[in-house]
Amino acid sequence: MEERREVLEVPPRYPNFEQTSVKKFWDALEEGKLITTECRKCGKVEFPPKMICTSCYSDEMEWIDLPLKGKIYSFAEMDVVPSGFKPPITVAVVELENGVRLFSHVINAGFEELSVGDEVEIEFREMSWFDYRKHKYFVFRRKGD
Amino acid sequence: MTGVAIVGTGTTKYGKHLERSATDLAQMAVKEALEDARDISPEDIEGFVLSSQNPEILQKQGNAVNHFSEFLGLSAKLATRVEGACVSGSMGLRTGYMAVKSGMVDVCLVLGVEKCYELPRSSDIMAAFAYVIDRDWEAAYGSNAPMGFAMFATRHMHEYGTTEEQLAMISVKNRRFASRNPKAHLQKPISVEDVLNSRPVCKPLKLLDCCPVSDGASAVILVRDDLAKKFTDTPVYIRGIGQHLINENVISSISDLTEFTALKRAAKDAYRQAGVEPGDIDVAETHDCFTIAELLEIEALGFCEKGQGGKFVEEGQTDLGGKIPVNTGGGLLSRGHPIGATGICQASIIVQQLRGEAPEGRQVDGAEIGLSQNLGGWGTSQAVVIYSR
Repeated sequence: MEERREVLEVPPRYPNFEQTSVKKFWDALEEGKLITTECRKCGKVEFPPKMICTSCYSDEMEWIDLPLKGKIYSFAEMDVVPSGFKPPITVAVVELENGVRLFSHVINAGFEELSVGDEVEIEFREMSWFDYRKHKYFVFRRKGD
Repeated sequence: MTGVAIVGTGTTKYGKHLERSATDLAQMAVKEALEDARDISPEDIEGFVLSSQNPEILQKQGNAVNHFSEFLGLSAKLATRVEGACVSGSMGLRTGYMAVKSGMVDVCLVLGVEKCYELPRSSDIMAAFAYVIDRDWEAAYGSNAPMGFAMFATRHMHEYGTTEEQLAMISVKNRRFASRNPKAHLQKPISVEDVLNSRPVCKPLKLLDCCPVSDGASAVILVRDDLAKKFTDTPVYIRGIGQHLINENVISSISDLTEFTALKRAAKDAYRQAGVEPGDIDVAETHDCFTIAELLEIEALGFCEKGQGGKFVEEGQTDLGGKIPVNTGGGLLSRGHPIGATGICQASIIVQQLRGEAPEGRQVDGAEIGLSQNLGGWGTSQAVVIYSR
């Protein structure tokens, strides 16, 4: 009952993985692949992926595989989290080997165990939103554990 | 060329207003602003700019500008609602400024209001605030307001050796100022130990590194500068008003998590318009939603070198008697942060300083030039206002 009232007070949010021009990104996650867009005209690689290049506005975009390794650029530990999540959650901004940066959870280390520059690998996990939307998303695993 | 003056300000107490609605708060702030000016009535107000972040979710009320006009007795030839997350207030000021400066209206009310404690639980309020964060690429994984600023803190600590103690000193200073501000949300003085021992919210930030959730409303009345003396003996003029927004909204898109790049640009523009330099500013109100934010702001505003914010705070340079007293109204950390109202309340605190009307322990002696700075998102949307007598 309690959970239901909460959902009604503030409409819950979850990603739009169906009606989007970057549906291919979400579909690739289900296959354990991490992809994004590269502009064929100016070469810009962006994340989040986009259907039109934000630099030259070309719509000639190509899907490329992202490297599955990177280093921690910054991190934090969320001890107070929004409804639907369980604290604590360690989160990080990770810079991949090609310079693209991503935000997600670090699944195997707390705040005190992490340092800027630590190497991480990408893994894929199922995320669920309010028990009625589910999708795979990428997460970080610190190397060496 | 027409200039713009502030001739009246009003603000409610900030805090939990469990017995007052958003429109009650709006009425209280506007009444005070009208009474602060001379010989002005609601009919004189030609422009109405409303800054409110989220009445749609917090009150389940749309068409906000018309909704509030009913309760304020306003009939305006310029009416608009402005929203840009936590910088809504200064965006509203800038909109009102443009309306007056362009000659579209002579007298413009800018009102900021946010009523958060209408939702039943703090988790509901947090969920409502999280609406400002990118849904698909960040908020869906639990991101909330403290998280982004904690990311800045971790990286700044890594690059420059900034410490949790230095951040705590910001909170202690602002609370001391708030203890002399009867309208502040939190007024009981605290110590560095209190901050360091408060429970973690998003490491490395602790509860007392974070501003509270507040209800409140603030209003200012803007007029053409040649009309200012009609409405007050102590007008305060807007000398520069800079804004900058950059296309980095998701936390992972921010190219440098050790500085507020957009603020450097907004400040440069405001300083240029006003014809002043950072060293000319006598008093500043900055957007200390989290302690790390004030530190990044004093660096980006040019009050100290990049990376030196921690040392500058430790030396007391941002306190009364220092090079640049910051957040003499208590800051968001202690005065409170009713989202859309904040930028407008900052203007009222600077007006009070430049009129020499702040109480002892807060007044900067002989302050002539003041600055307010307000941000939205992860500091990627910024506004800076420079004022003088």
